Amino acid sequence: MSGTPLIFICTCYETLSRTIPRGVLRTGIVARRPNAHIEFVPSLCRREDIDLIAGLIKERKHASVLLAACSPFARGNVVLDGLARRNPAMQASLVDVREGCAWVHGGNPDAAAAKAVDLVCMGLAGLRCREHSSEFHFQPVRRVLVVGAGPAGLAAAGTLARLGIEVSLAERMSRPGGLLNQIGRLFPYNMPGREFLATFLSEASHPCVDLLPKTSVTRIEGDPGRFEAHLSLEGRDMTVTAGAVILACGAMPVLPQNRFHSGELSGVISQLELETRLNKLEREESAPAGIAGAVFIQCVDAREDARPYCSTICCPTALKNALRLKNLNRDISVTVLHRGIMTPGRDLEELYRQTMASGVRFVAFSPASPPEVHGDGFVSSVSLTDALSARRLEIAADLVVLSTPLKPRPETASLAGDLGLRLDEIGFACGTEPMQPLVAPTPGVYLCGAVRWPVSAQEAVDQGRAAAIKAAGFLAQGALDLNRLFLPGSRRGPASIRTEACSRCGRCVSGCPYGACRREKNGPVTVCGIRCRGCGLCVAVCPSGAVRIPEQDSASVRAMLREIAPRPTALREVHR
Amino acid sequence: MTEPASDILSPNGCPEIRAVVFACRWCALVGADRAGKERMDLPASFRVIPVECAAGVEPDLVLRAFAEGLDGVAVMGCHLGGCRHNEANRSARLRLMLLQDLLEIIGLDRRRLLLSWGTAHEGYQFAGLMREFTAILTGLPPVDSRLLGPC
Repeated sequence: MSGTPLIFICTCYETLSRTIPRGVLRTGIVARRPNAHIEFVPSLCRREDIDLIAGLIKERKHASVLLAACSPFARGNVVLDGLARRNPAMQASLVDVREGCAWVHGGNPDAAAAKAVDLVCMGLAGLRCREHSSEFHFQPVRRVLVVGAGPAGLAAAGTLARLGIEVSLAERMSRPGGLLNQIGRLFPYNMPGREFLATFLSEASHPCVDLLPKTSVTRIEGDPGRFEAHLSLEGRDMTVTAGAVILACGAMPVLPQNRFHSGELSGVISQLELETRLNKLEREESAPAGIAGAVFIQCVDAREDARPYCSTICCPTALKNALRLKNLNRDISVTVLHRGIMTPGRDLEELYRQTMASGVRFVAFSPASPPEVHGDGFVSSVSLTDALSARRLEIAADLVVLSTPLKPRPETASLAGDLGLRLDEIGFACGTEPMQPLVAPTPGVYLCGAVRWPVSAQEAVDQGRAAAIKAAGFLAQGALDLNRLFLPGSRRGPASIRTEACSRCGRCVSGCPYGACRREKNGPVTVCGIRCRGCGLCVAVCPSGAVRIPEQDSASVRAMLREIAPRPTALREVHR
Repeated sequence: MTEPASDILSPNGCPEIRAVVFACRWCALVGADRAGKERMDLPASFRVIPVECAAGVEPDLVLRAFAEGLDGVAVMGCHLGGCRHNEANRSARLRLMLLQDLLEIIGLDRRRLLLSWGTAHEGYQFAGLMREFTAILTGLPPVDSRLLGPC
C-alpha cells in the first residue's frame, strides 16, 4: 500500500490546459512534491472514468487519491460519490482547479498556474491529516409520537399508519379534531367540517395508531431515534419511547377582549362565536332572527404593534361566513371592514369573487382611524372613514363580528425547548427555514400545521402528510455511514472529543447549535453522534483544542495554510 | 529567519498578495463556483478552503494564517438568519469581530480579516469582494510575521 496519494488532474478535454499547460502544472507540483504520482486524464466524471480511476488506484495500491478537477457543485461531488461507492475505505479529496482557478484567472495564466500548484499541494496536505469517521450504526425505534390530534396530527398519524409505522397520538382534549370540531364549514369549498374530519379520523383509526385522549406531553428527553416522552394521562404519568416526534399541537384563537365594546354591547361577537351560531342555524335549517345588518371587522388584535402579524386565515374565514349568512337570508346586508383582503391562490380568489357577487360590501379602513361601534345595550351602528374615498360612513348593524387571529399555544414553548426548536418572535415554532420548513434542526423532529404559523385545515393536512413522510424516511435509515445520514455532500462525520485534553469548561456544550455536545455530572464532555452535523462550532470555541472533526481537523487546515504561505523554497522543504 | 512577504514578487513586479478564504459550502463556495462559471476575471491572490460552516473557523487558524505570512484572511458565511446550522454564524460573527479588535491591538489592520455574512452568494458578489479585498491588501504594508511569533 503506497502512502503517497495518487493525483488525478482532469484536463476537462484540454480546456484546462489552455490556461494551465500540463507541463507547467506537473513541473510546479514535482518541484514541491518530488515523489508525487500525477496522472492527467481528459475527463473524470463519466461512469467509465470513475471505473477506470478506481481500478488504477486499486492496481497501484494507493491508500488515498486527490482529484484536481472542477468545483464540487459542477461534477466534483459526483466523482467523489462514485469513488466512495466503489471503495468506501479510500480517502478521496477534491480540489477545484477549474471554476476556482483556471476559469477565474484566465487573464493571468502564470498566476493561475501558480495557484493551481498551490491548490494541489493544499489538497495533498489536507489529505495527509484526513481521517475517516467511523461507521455509525443507527437503530431507531419504529414508533412516532405525534403531539396533537388536529387535522395536521391526524393526517400525519394516518399516513404513518399506512406505512406500517406505530404511532402514539397524544391529544390534550377528550376527542380528536382540535379546532376543526368548532368549524361548521371549511373554506374554500364550503365542505362540512364534520365530513372533512371524518375522513381523517377514519384514516387514523388504524391498529397502528394509539390514540391517547386527555393526554398532555410534559417533557421529552433522549436522543433522535430514541426519544423518551413523559405523558400525563389525566394526572397519571406514562412514558412513550419513540424514534421520531411530530409536533402538531396547533394554535389557539385570540378572543377579542374589550375591543369594539365586545362584552359590553350585546351583538358584538367573535368570528368563532358566529361560527357556532351559524352551525346551529344550518343544522336547524332556520334563518337568523332579528338581524338586518351584519358588519365584520377584520384584523382585530392583529397587524398592530402588540401583535404585528397577519394570521392568514381570518380573511377567508370571514368571507366564508359572510357567504353563509347571505345564503341563510339574502336580505341581510353584510359589510366587511378590512385593511386589505388577503385571499391568495386560485380557490381563495374564487371565494372572494363569489362573495362580492353575492352582494357583500367591502369597505377599507385605515388602522389610524379604526371603525367605531355605537349602541346602547345593543349594538346599533358602526361608523368609519372609508380609506379610499375619505368619506364618513354610518352603517346600521345589529351584529358586529370581530375577526381575531390565532396565537401560539402555551405548550409550544416548553416542547420547543425540549426538542431544540427555535421560536420566532411571536412564539410560533420554526423549522430549518428556508430549505426544510417542516424539519427541525434536531434530527427526527418534525413540525406541521398551525404550530408553525396559522394555516387552513387543508394546508394543515398537507403539512401533516409531508411531515409524516419525512419522519418515515428518518426511521427507515438503518446502519449508515453518518457522513451521508443527514447532509448529503457534507462528507464530514460528527465531532469527537479527546477526553484527556478536555478541560470540561463546557463552552462547546453551551455553544452547540444542535445540543450534541453534552456533559454528564462532572464527567467528560461527549458528542451525541446522531445530533451532530459537523458544523465545527465546538472546534472553534474549544480553548484546549480537544475537539476535532476527523474529516477536516485543524491540523490539516494548518498544513494547508502552510502550502499557501509565500515562503522561500528552502523553508518549504523543512516544513514538508 | 523567515523572509518578509514583500520579497516575493509577482511577474509584474508588485509584491504578490496572498489571502485565504474560508468559504461556507452553503453560501460563499456557491458564489465562488458561480464566479468561475461566469468566467469572471479575478485577481489570483486568494485560495479557497471550503468549510461546513463559518462557525467552524477557529480564531487560532486565522492567527496562524497571518503567522504564516499571509496578507489577508476572509471568512464567509450565510446571511444572519439564514445559517444552515441553526444560527451558528451569529456566534461566529461575534467571535471573529472580537478577533478583528485583537488584530488591531497587535498591530495588524482589522481590514486584513474580511468578514462576509451572506454577501458572497452570487458570482458577481464574490468577485466584487475579492477585487475589493485584494485592493485593500495591496494598499497595506506587508505583514511582519514576527508580530505573531514563531509558528
